[in-house]
Amino acid sequence: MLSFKDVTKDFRLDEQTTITPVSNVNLDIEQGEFVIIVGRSGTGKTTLLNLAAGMVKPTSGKVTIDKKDLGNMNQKELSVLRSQQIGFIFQFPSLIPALSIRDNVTMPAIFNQNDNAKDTNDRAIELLGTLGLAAKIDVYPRQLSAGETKRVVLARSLINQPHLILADEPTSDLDDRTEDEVMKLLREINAKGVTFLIVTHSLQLIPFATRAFEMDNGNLNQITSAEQLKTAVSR
Amino acid sequence: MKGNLEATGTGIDQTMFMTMDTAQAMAKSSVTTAVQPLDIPADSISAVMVKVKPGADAHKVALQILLDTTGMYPIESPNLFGTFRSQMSGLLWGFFALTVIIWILAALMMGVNFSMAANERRREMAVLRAVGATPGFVFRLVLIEAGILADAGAVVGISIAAFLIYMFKDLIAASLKMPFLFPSFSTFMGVFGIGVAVAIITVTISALVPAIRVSGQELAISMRE
Repeated sequence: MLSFKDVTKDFRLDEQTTITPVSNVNLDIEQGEFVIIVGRSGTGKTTLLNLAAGMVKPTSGKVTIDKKDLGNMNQKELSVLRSQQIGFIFQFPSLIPALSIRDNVTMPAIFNQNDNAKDTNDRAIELLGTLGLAAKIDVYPRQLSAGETKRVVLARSLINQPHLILADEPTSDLDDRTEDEVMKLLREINAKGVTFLIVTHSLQLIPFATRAFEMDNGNLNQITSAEQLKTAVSR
Repeated sequence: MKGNLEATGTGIDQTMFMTMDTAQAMAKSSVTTAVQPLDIPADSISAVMVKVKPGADAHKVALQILLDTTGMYPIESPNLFGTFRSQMSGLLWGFFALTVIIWILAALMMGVNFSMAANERRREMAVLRAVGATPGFVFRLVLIEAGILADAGAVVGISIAAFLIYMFKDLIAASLKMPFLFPSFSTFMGVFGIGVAVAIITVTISALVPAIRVSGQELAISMRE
């Protein structure tokens, strides 16, 4: 479904300095997988996620979604792809403060030409109800707690019924209990066939994954044993 | 009454135009109704006003009338309107130059303001792009927001200006030391519409560069800011 083939991404900071947050990464993610990539800050996790969403183009190599090469798509085609196939959970507070929770959740549907307003609204009510936010549907983001905000972002990412969810630190700023609740929720959605690619610095999330990787200085290493997990923890 | 002169604010334009029969009837009734009866000798016309074409020499026309007619004595009106026109022309050019300078400064100021606002909202716009908005949508969004602001600003600004001018029209007329007429409602509405249109065009021009920048920004970088 999502594939990285020999993907490298360089950023040129100035004439002498180039950094390579993603180096020669190969990864194939199948439909329905729940993949978690762990790593310290600055190891290239978010860049990898941005590459997966076509928000940044690889310096070399190929990123494909359903065999479509993102590198060959223009900005408009990438926007259509993102609106129809990808849900995004950002690390930072990404709700639009001037919009109500309902409007924030339904916003991505505006960009999905295959949708209509009534279906979208019904789906938003259903999603927010499922996520325990039925009572907050017409409030504004500033009135929500961190955990509620994460759940609204999750609802927004699901509104267009995407096949793939890309999540950047989906449990940051959450206490252990809320983190556990959010992860269980993601797994429930995953059980319905939605593919997840999550990047996080939290090793506690690894048990939720069907496959886990460690990102270290731009390189991706699969965690297959307790020994490797221990190594990742010690870094 | 057949008509009167268009208002000029000078008092000269109080002249009324009527048919000869009406004038005779007025003269007849003035014997019983007026303090001083009006006497119009039969078959006579006291004065004929001649309006020359723009650019024509009124003095030459007067001379020609004197040469071509008998019993008629042309009287040239003082060049009252010409003086007003030349005074107004200088004043209007001054206003025009000032308006252009203020317009350019306002457009630059708004451009800077929109750039700052767009910079502050780079991440918000990047989020829109990440959830599926096309660059064209973001571009239009910035311009539409600017247009709405311009619309509101123009309506409020012009309304306040019109109110103040109306309140102080006598003071303005006195300080100008020349005829000053407050525009009619239809003229005012025309000026109002032009003002709003100019505001929208100006703001659109000012917001163009920020709109292009924010719609074409690199998403990954904007989201990190």
